Amino acid sequence: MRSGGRPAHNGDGAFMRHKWWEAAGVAVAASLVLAACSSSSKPTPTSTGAGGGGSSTGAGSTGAGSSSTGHADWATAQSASAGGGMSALVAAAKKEGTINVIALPPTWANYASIISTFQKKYGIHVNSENPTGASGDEINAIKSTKGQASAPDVVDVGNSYALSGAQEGLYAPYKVSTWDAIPAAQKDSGGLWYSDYGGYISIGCNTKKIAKCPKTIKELDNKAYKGDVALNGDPTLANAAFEAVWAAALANGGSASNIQPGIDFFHKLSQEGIFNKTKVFPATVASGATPIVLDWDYLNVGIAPTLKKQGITWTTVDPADGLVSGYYAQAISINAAHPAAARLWEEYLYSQGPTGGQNGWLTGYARPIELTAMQSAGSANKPALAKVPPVNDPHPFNPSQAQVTAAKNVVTQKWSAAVS
Amino acid sequence: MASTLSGERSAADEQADASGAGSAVRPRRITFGWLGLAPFFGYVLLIFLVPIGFILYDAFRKTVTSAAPVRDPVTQQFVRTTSSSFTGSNLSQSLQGVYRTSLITSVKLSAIVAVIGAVIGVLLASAVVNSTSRVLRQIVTSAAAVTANFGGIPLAFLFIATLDANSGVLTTFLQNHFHFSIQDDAHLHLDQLSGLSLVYLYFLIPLMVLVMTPALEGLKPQWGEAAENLGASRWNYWRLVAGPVLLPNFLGSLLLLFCSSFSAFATAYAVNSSFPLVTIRIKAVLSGNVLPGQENLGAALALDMIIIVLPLTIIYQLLQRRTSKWLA
Amino acid sequence: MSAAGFEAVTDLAPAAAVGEQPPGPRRHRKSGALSRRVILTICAIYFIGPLLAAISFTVQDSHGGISFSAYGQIFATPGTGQVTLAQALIYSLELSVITIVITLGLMLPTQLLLRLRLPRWRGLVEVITLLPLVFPPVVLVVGVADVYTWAAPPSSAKAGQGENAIFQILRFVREDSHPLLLALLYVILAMPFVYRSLDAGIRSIDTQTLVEASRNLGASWPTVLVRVLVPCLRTAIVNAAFLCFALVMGEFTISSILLYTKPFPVWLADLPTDSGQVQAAVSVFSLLFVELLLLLLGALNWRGAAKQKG
Repeated sequence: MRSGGRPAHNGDGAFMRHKWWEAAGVAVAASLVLAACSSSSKPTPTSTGAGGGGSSTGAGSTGAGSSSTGHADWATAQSASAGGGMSALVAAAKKEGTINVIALPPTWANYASIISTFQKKYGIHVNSENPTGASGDEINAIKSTKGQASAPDVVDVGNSYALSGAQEGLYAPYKVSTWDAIPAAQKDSGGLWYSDYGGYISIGCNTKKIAKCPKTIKELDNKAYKGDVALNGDPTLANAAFEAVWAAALANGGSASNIQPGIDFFHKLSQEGIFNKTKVFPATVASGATPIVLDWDYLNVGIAPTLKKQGITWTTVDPADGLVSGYYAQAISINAAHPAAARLWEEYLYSQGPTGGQNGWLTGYARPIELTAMQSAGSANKPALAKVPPVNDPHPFNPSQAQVTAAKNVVTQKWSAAVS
Repeated sequence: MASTLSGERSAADEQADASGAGSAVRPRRITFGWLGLAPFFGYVLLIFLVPIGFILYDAFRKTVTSAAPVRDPVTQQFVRTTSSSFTGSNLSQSLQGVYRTSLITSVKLSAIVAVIGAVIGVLLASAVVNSTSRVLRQIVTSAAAVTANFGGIPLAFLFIATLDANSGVLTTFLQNHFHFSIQDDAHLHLDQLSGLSLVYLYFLIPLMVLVMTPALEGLKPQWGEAAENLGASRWNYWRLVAGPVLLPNFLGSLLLLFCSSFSAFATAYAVNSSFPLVTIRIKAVLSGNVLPGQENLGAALALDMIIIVLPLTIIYQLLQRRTSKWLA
Repeated sequence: MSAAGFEAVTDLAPAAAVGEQPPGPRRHRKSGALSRRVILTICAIYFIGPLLAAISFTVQDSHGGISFSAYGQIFATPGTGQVTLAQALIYSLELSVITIVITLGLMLPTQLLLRLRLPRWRGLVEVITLLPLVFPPVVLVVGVADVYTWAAPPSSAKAGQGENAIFQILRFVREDSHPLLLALLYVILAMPFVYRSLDAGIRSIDTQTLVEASRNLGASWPTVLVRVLVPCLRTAIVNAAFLCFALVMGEFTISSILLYTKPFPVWLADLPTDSGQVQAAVSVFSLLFVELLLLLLGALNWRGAAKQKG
């Protein structure tokens, strides 16, 4: 029942005319069947398929299947040229008609206009699911929606989830045309995932409430900021908060292998009443409840225009004493319902043209992964680039995966005790 | 009088069972009963117990991935050399350190707000039930249904807008006009247990009102009059007549409130994202942005939650049985 | 409130008739009316105060004036292909009707049966109905995801291949064209509240006598249920239905994680805005709007009640 030719009607009202009673009736019957199945025939075919270590054998059989079909199978194509070229990809994607994206907040790094540009350019409907979801939700969604028209086609996840998802076999390998412009450390060599955009931890500040805005992390430790300094969530739950703790560690003598000084710093701020534990969301920023916010710079810069309309000047600075950057990563779901559209989406996101995804993120104040290549090619949108907070970061902070895991474990164990 | 109406339920029913008091199908009663409960048990099994069973099963498993994964040259996928084994380590980890603290704090917060919410809720419900204004009752009932389901960031923001130290309407008003600080003088901090309790009551009191209103309506005004005519004081009426009738419902609702706040997450997270609650820990590993690969730990924490609540339900059942006996 | 005073006055009569009655009850009765007023006032302040604070934030404009533009964004026309407010509302109304029907259809007979015939099972059923409340909803969602993962063919299999009967059923339940999976889960979420609400109602009436009397008068079981018990349990049933309705109109976690984009709460939360005022306006709107809907439903219920009595 895969929707080969028929586009999934996710945007229009067609769904409503379905009869519930039909649905409910079938469901009752279905549950009875299910009950019978689960009680009588325990070792169902699935238990051998899902449980066994059949990953490698299964992969073999897929390969055979795809080679037997004459047409390009975009579900297994590992690059546009391998599938028959860009125009074939565009045609196949248009035929699919829809793409499901997940966890892309419209106000995050300019995603609203990136999505609408893609829709206009290719006439493919972008179905944005769970825009406020976390990386963990994206992984759960891939796992639980196989065979659904709503299965997410592409994900935009934090680095750790890019790695863990690749290990779990959830992503389909694909290399975009501009693959070489992505720094080698920022992508999986097999094409399972690839960083897309990122930013630095920054200090956002409400000049209406704060007389002298802090420029460095060390300056936050000032009685004048009592009850003012807030994080975007808990460091064990929100990536930006975790990286902010690490930035605080760097500002206080910590390193890639030592995040403890960051925890100690927030412990001190908490003791002095400076640390404000309210979770930052737009309403707390607008109401003045959280006048100083540590968050990604593209988010702090991004919210300023809206606040301006409400009479609030919101400044953003990347603290020189705690320069920590973080990138998100793209990956195509192995269960993608629209495999061609998914690949076209990636091609679009990594294209460097004026209306391409790379400049789209840049317009949202985020740093696209191909920025260096774009700057040397002169394709970066200069006015947009000028609005991104400048940093002087000759030796980027780049902890190994083992160090990241270790730091997360330390924060998990010590954070809430340190700040309560 | 009270006992005929509601108290001696179990005794009466057992008697009814034994003698087949109802005029319905006598000999096949038991079979009929089983069939009657089948839809309920079937539904709960399929829609709730099976999914939860998967989670709880995960609590005892640990997946080990080999240190150096190998890649299939054709599909580029990692050839998975993982093995999962049964272990108690998730469970023991879930009872240590930060997880232990968060379990304790969750229980503490839930117990406090459940008791306060239940008492205020009953008072409010009885005030509403005894009011002769139908409009008031209608408004309270519908408002209670909505607020009982209210939570998360929206609820948190109502209180941030009111009581936040930097910008709360009430905070600023008291500060400007009376030089009174809610934080320093009243020691009410939104991000601490006291403040969080205040926020939680916003959805717990209405919940109590909703589940207790039908019971309070069952108290016949004649009982009060009869008690009064017999010379009972108001206190005696509540202690000897209304109280015992309501007690099973009250205890059950108290437990409901406890569980309701025990499982709440988003509200506390918005008010104080570093507050040590077990639900925030679960959310972090099951649906977070930072800690992949710790789903088994989340499952173990969920198991802890059941282990904490089950004894409470057993105590409640025993108490209820006792009150039933005492009333009979 | 004047009615309450009146009630106290009429109550003087029986107290006086007893003669030697100490003044105690009378005083208590008066203080009862007073304490009732105190409780209602405190609760009104507690529940309305924060709402007013939030509203005052949503309507202030940058020049110190008042503006309702934040609310205007809720009614702004969405882009083509996006779900409209009306569509989202209809979707959630449908969802709540399915949820209420399944919930009452499942719980009312079950609980009456427990009361009338199987009191020994009550404890077990009650504990079971409480369980859904023990976990945060995300646990249930991940459990559901686990079931789907378990039943699904291996990820290397092509779509549509190697699917067994269980997976086909699961897939049908999950399909986007109808909200069946959500409704089934909401029934579970509503169960703890619905059970207690119905239980309180069932306890407060003498079910046994009512049923026996009706049966002796020749009423069939369905007649007893519909004509005798349901009217007696009106408050409890209405409360339960209201709870279900408010739950469906407010539940966000499960529906968003399961990728439903059309339910009203998801639609509201996903409004493309980074304006704090609009976000706060959205929560105020949803609270008052659902409340208004319930009041309307409540008024209908009144009418129905009045008709039945008349």
